[in-house]
Amino acid sequence: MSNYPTSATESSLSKPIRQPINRFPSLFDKEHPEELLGRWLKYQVISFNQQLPENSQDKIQPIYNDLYYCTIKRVNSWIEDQKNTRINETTILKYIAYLDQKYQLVDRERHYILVRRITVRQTEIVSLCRFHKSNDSLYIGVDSFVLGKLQWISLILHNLLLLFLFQGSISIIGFITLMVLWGF
Amino acid sequence: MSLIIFLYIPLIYAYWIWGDVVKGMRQGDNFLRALRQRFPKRISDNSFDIDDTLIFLKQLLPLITSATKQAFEKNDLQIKELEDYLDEISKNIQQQSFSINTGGGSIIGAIFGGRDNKISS
Repeated sequence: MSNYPTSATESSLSKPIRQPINRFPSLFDKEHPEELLGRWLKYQVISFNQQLPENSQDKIQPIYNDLYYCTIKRVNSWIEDQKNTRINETTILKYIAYLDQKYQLVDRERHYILVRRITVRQTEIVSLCRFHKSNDSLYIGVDSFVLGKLQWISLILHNLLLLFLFQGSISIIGFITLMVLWGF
Repeated sequence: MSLIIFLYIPLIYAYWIWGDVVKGMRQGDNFLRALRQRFPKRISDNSFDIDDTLIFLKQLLPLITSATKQAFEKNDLQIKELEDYLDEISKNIQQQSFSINTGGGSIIGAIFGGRDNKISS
């Protein structure tokens, strides 16, 4: 990966950010990066596998590196071009290496290119792009997700119900202890 | 003993509500973003917003396919099937749209129903 550009804007994209995932209390950590990103758009998907010809097996690694290099460069310059427009949309590009803590020793390397756009009406679109090399072929996959705004009423109602449940269980426990104390 | 039984239900409910928020925050999202991932509004059928979404996706995905093509060309590897296939994909993406299911649920259904996840789409 020596041919990455070294300018100030792109230097943060030349090396992936290491992001551990699926950490120990697995009830409290995401299992995979596509969790909780919103609604999956099933028609906006790229997913295919390209087998390389027989005499070019040694090209897998350079092509794999160039896939990330070219995609990041393209997308980054596309984002840079949009910065001068009047429209108040934010676009974020990240290059992340996910490390599954549970399967760290046996898993393949999972490098993701994450592009996130927040529209004027605060809808979030996330695209996850990744390339994988298996023995003699390259897999290319892109998935996109859309997430709506925060639903305050749902948040408030759920927490009120939770409060009532806690209060109810505590009062039931109190009632039973009183009964026991009185000798019933 | 009774204490454990009666505290179970609210604790499970608390996990169902706040577990995903904790998951999001441990992956580096701020609190509001994590809350929003757990309690998203249904995606609005505001056509301005749908246009903004589609403008983004229809520009981004062909960029990725052309970058893929470029990466193969850079290593002097030209596979005709691959190029045809990538052209076809980017052409298909230009035409595809997505449907938003806004009907069907009442207000209660929208609040207590399923989150917008892979399965429900």
